[in-house]
Amino acid sequence: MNKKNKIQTSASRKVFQVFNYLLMLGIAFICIYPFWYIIIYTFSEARLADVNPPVFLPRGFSLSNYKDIFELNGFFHSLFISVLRTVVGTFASVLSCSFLGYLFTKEEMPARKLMYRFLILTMYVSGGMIATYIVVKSYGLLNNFWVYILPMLISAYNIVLIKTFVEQLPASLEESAKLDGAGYLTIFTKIILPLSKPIIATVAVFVAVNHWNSWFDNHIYARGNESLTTLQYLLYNYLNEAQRLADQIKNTTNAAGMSQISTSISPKGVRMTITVLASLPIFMVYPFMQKYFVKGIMVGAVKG
Amino acid sequence: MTANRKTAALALHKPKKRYSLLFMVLPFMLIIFLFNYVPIFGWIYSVFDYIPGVPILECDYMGMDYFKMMLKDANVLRSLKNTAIFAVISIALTPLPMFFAIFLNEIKCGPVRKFVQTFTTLPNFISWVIIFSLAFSLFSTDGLLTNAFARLTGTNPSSVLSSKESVYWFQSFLGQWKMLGWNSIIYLAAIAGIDQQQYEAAKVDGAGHFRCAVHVTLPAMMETYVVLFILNIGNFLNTGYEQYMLFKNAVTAPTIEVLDLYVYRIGLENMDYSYGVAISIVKSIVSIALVVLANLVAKKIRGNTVI
Amino acid sequence: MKAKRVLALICTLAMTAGMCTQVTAADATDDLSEHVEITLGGVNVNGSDSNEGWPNEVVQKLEEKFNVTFTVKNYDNESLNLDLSGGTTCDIVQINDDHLEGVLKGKHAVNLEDYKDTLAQNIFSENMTFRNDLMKTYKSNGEGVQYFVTPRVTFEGSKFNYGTTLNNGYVVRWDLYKQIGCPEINNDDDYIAALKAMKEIYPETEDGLPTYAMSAYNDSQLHAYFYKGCLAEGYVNLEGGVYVQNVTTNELVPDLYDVGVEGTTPFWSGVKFYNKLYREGLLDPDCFITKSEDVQEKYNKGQYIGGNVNWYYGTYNENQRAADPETLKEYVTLPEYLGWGNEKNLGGWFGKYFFVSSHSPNVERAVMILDYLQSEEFSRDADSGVEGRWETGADGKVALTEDTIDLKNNGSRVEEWRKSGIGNGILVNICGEDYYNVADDGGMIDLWFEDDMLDDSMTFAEKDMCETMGLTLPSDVLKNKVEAGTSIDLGTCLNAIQMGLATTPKNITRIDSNCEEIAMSAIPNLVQAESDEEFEAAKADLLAQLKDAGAEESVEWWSNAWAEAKTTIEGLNK
Repeated sequence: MNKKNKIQTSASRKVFQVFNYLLMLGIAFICIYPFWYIIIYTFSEARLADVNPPVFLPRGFSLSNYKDIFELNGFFHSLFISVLRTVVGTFASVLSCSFLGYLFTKEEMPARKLMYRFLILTMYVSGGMIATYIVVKSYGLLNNFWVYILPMLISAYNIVLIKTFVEQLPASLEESAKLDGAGYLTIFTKIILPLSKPIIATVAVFVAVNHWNSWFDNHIYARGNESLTTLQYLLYNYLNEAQRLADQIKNTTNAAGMSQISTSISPKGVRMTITVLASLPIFMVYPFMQKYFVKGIMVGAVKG
Repeated sequence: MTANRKTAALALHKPKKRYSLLFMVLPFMLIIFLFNYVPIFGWIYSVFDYIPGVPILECDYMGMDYFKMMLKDANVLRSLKNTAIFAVISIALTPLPMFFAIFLNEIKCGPVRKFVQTFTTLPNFISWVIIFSLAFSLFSTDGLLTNAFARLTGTNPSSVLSSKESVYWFQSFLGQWKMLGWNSIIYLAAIAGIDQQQYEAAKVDGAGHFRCAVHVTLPAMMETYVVLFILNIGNFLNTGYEQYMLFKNAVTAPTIEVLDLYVYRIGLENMDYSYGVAISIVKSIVSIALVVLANLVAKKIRGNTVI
Repeated sequence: MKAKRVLALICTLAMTAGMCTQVTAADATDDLSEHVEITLGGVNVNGSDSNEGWPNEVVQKLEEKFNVTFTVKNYDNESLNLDLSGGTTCDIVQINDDHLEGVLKGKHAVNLEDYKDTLAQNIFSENMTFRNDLMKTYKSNGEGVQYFVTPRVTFEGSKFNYGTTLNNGYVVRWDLYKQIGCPEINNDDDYIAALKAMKEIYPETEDGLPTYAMSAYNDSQLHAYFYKGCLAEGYVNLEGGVYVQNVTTNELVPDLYDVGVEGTTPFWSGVKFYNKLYREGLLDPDCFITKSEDVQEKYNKGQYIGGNVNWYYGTYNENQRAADPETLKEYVTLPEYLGWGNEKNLGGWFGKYFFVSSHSPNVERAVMILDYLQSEEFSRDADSGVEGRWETGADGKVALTEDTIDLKNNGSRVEEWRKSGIGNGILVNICGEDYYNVADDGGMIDLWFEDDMLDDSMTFAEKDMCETMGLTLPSDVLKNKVEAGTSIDLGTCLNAIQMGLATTPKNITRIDSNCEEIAMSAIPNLVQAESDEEFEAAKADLLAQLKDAGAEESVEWWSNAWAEAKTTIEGLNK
């Protein structure tokens, strides 16, 4: 490479860098601003924001959106349940999926393809809600904490991701370990897990967010047990109530019914507050997980 | 006995089968069976006129009526067309998250990269209801962007939300905006998994940044991309309904209604539970057929199956 | 056939979980010694979990009386389907028409007549006879026994008034309407002229935003269009608005597919009205996009001058009053041809059916609670508070106490107000008697509706309106018009006929919802027609599409079903 060429490269590199920074920050901006808008909306005084939505800073300042939510009956208990299911569920699911993902890379497994396809198929078939409900009921899982954990334990999608990742790892590592007499479990914990940190972190983020934000399983399987109410379900009900109050005004054809109803909570404000709460784990977990994303996984390092 | 002999014969070419592996997998397979396969008995509802709450044997037996009805249902045809258009666009756009990840990876300033990486995932958390209300304030006739655009071009403001023609690209754009950052996570993980020695080797060969990206980063991600691509092909008909339901209005209705939205609608408005099940069965079959097909094509091209 | 038998076998194996047992009530007792939990689950009912002040005074009274803990849960379609399929319903359930068949055929409800003379005497009281006959005849799957009760039954001899203000009609901004000299509005054309005049003096809001006459709320399907027409033409709609009932003749009329119908049906009247607005340049250009929330936002910003309903302008009015208590900038509603008042729900509210679940572990207690909810005592409690919140005065008249009135209006006592349970959003939807019924003590069930209570709640703008137009109450415009015979109210409407309709077969339901969908998509062309010819062409096009979708089959079924129901119900009512 002669000198002239090098200068040209670095010049075009600089142009590219500038362009790339602009592009990335531009994309970041169109992603952040709507979210910022949501945040300042939740801190605005409802009355002012309704008339004149905020632009850069909250209109007035009010914590009432959050205060109302914190004051909901059973807020702290449901927060506890949500955290519990997220932690337990993520841990169990990540462990199961990564172990299964690893096992499915083993060609010496009997009926491997068959079982793998059996797993993949679950992504495309479903028996419908009523049948699933009856089945879950017959397992005795209704109103049971494990109904949050077990059905979500194994995710075909996540297993595919992990399997694909593990397959990319140099086979030589495993071979040498095998020669040392290590079993599958040892290889998995000692070699595969440390090397697969990026994908495991990714799957952990997926699963954690999923657990944190799921309310539907609570809604259909654990309605009957208030001590199992998750935060998202509590919020879902709260939002619905705001919505129904708004609708009720519409649907009450009876003249008299209407004067009784006041619009104290606006569905919009509630919805926005819920969005902020829903995105919390990404702020708490993702930056933490990102350290496993740093480049420089040196295969050699694990070897030694 | 035959089975044993067969495995023994295979063992000559392939590594010896390890039955201990089977025992490790089976408990998980059991869970999959219990939670994903047992409920499939619910497909039975498609041949009855099922009324929730009535024991199924007391419901009218319909045979294949619902499946026949589907073929004649003009709404199914129309919504299939829309679904196909949305699906083709979204499949055509599947490389975007991968390229986003590559470009992001080229940002060498750590904090900036992390900042962009974290904050581009945020739209994933914004529900479609809110996206609609944000879109309304930007894109309605009085909306900020509509007006800015009209002033710029000197035309009368007209809203993209009430335009039948713009539905496909506009909805696809919103979908991409919502999911881009989130979907790129997986590719960022793939990049992180690349053995650094490969880059060093490439650099020794005199490769610049660009060539490193093309010759090392891209191929390393292709495997993930292809697998996800094939899984996506299977989701051809599964577009979800929420987005389309919210952006549906009198003007956009003919072009925005997708199959999932139609199924949602018949379940909710007509209480047609059985018809909904029948459609979802057909959808499952189509999905599986598509995945199998894609898998075969992949085998033809690459020599090995993906799934 | 063999296939069917195999299927049957699979089903029996798989469905073991979904079976349900019928409880018979041979010896009903009123044993209250054991404390139990009774839960009421209802479609479109708010849950008591997040209800402020729950259990309030009214509920506490109930709980003590029956030694129970009483909670209310919400059902949506999904969860109700699941609970019915799995036999896991709440003790008392409230459903709508969609689930009647499932409940009846699946035998999920307790026969209330088993408790006729013991635990359910309020349900079977003399005044409820007509309602009970309806339930027995039409909501029993032909068995002729009673499983359901409805809320808010209007009794013979109930009083009525039009309230303080009207809820539906020609909405105007009072300050603007006053400025243009309060022109009399007798029909849509008068109204459009008034809107035009108001827009001329108020072309944009104080913040420089453009103003429009109104928009449609598109998240309620065709409602915005046919409901406007209902008010102008004198109809009430059946759900979805594909069919409407004439208020004076009680005849059923196909609303969308109006081939062969004399006069204008509500849908076409409404669409025509929007078309006129469009041609006058008064209609919001976002008319086809706006949903309730967007409409309300634009009202909040003052961008609309008119409207048909009072659902969306409450916040605007409140905001204006907060800024200036003596403001005239408030929306008020003037009557259209049909005033939505004097509604006689002889069969109770439509589409809300309560039953006691046969899966309840405490059927008898649940029957007692449901019976109590139906009682005069509970209805009065729900609307006016427990005794003591109101009292019988020296003149023998029952009235709310001064303290109670202060409680309602005094913002600093809001906690206490909630605790009192008066007008509680859950309770007012589950009690048995109409607001306007007269209780044994001579007072109305809802004492807030007594005539001498009405003028207490007027705002400054409303008072100004009364002064300017020479009225006592804003709603008097309607009262005067009804007396003059230029307007009608719902007094002649026998809405119970809707309850007597046979269950709609699925193929008809499909046709109807398809027609609704087709009509929805046709609206932009209709409303944006630039000339009468264009409008007629768009109409002909829609009618042809409806015909292809099977509208005639649907009309035939509905006409027959209606004729049958009408004859029998009118018979029952005599």
